[in-house]
Amino acid sequence: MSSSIPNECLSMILELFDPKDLRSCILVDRLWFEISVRFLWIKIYNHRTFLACLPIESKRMLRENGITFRPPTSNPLLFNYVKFIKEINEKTILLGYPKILQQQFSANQKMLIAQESFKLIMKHASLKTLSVQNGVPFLEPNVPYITFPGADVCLQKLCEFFGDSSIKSEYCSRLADFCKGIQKFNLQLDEDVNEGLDKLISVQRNLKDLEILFNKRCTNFGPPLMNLANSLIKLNINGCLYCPNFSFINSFTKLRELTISLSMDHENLKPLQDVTLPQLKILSFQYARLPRDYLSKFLENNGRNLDELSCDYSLNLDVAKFCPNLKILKSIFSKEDDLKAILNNCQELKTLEVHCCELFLDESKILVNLAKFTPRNLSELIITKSSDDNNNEKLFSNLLEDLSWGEEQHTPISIIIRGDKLNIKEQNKQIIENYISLGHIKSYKLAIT
Amino acid sequence: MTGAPEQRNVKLTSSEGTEFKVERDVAEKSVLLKNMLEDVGESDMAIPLPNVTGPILQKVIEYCIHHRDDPVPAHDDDTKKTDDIDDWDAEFCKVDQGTLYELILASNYLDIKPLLDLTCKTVANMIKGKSPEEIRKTFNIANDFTPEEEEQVRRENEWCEGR
Repeated sequence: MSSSIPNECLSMILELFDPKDLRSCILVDRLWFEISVRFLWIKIYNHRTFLACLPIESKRMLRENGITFRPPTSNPLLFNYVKFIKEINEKTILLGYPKILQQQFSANQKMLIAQESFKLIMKHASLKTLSVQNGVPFLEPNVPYITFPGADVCLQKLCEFFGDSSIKSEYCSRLADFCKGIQKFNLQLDEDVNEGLDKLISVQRNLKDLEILFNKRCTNFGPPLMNLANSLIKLNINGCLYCPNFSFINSFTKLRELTISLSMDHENLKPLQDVTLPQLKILSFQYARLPRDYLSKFLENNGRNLDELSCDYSLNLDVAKFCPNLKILKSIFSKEDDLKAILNNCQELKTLEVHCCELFLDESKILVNLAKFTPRNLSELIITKSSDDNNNEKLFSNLLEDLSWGEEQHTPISIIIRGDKLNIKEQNKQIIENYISLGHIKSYKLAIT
Repeated sequence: MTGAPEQRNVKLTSSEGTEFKVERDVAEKSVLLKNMLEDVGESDMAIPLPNVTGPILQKVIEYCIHHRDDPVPAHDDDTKKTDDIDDWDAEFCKVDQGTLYELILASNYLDIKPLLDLTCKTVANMIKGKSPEEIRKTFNIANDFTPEEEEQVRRENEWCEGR
């Protein structure tokens, strides 16, 4: 006899689901509906139903302005769905309706719909995530929802904020008055930081995760960041078009995770060579041809603590030398010697992710070396293939019949290959199957993208 | 053997009053117990766990012993994937549904995040990709919607393309 699932359990489980999985859950029975609907509606799930939640006065006003919409059914709604909403993207509300209601609206009509929608949200919801990336601000109606009744309560528990430097200074300044608990801040900078944004960043007491994309030169982002030095544990600087000078990073001693992507202004990385970040565990350097000198020095100072690293081939030898405790490494290899050095020195490695393409070591070479020098804990080899690689259809084509596996006992390795048009010839499949039966390899899987 | 000091055992009592002895590092997989032990310090008193039955506590201890050397999960993110259950864990979860639910409640109460994740994922995998009818069958649920209600739930929560 199976006992029924306790509500508390069901709630913990359904919280993990995305809308696609929840669509079946709402139709199981009344109880499942009641529990799953609140997760289904974390974002505005159905705009027609959302608009049906508007109060009578709003509906009347919209009707008088030529905006009508059919409610889902003629019955009163089963829930006030608005109170479940936790995440909104300004843009969806400003621009989202015409398509959904399959009607054309004038600029004024759009503004009215957005205004009434925001009033409804500010009054009933308590948001966790807010996106105000405008992108094309001049095309969009401007709705000053930050001054609407209830905005302070609705926004004071915000945990995640996505914005850009085009957000008006007054908006940020007002938001800063009641919203001080943002944990994750994602910012695109197209110009200098305005006063309000500066204030919004500075007042945060518990900001843990900051991601900044520099689209243009921005010279004054440093000062507001200094207030975060005691709380920040994750920092992602994406400086494809401009990179700030990294001298600020010295005081971020709590950082656990650092990602740096940049393709210019390499000199600005120079301060990294003297920085020690005692808590740093996860490090990622993206884009090729980074200035090796500075980063090598940084690894010398910080590599011993690292659990996880992504880098490119120019740093492989430094990784072997300075990062003996790595558990996860993502890299690319130009020389077998580099790979050997890493396999010999990084004995804690659990996962090795290698990008293979024509100019670099291929998957056969990787496996040959892995067989010879398997770190004892290595349990996963992930190989990613470029989509334009002609060898994707004949994987492991240089695979030797007899890989000479090292004497020492090692964990059987799961191999995952990601890419498109992947195929293994029957003969090589046999070889791999053989290694599976001998216990060297645990499994292999082609993940076709 | 390294020169680690000998571990003291911790005594736990299940809801029926059965006493369990576990090593301290095993007990400390539970954040609740870890905090209690830190507050109380050394003590021979058994810790009563009135919300957990003996058989469930036995299972929980089995899990904690197997995972005693796992690193403390660092951060809460990235644990939501449902396809990464290893063989031992999968085998551990091959129990009847009632036991699985009790394990969820116990790991939630004892605050053992990895066990809570594991058991929730296991149940989640029994739900995902199924139709409402299949879910009802799996969990032995009777559909208590009237046809009209069911239609209303469907209409108000229609999936909109192009959003």
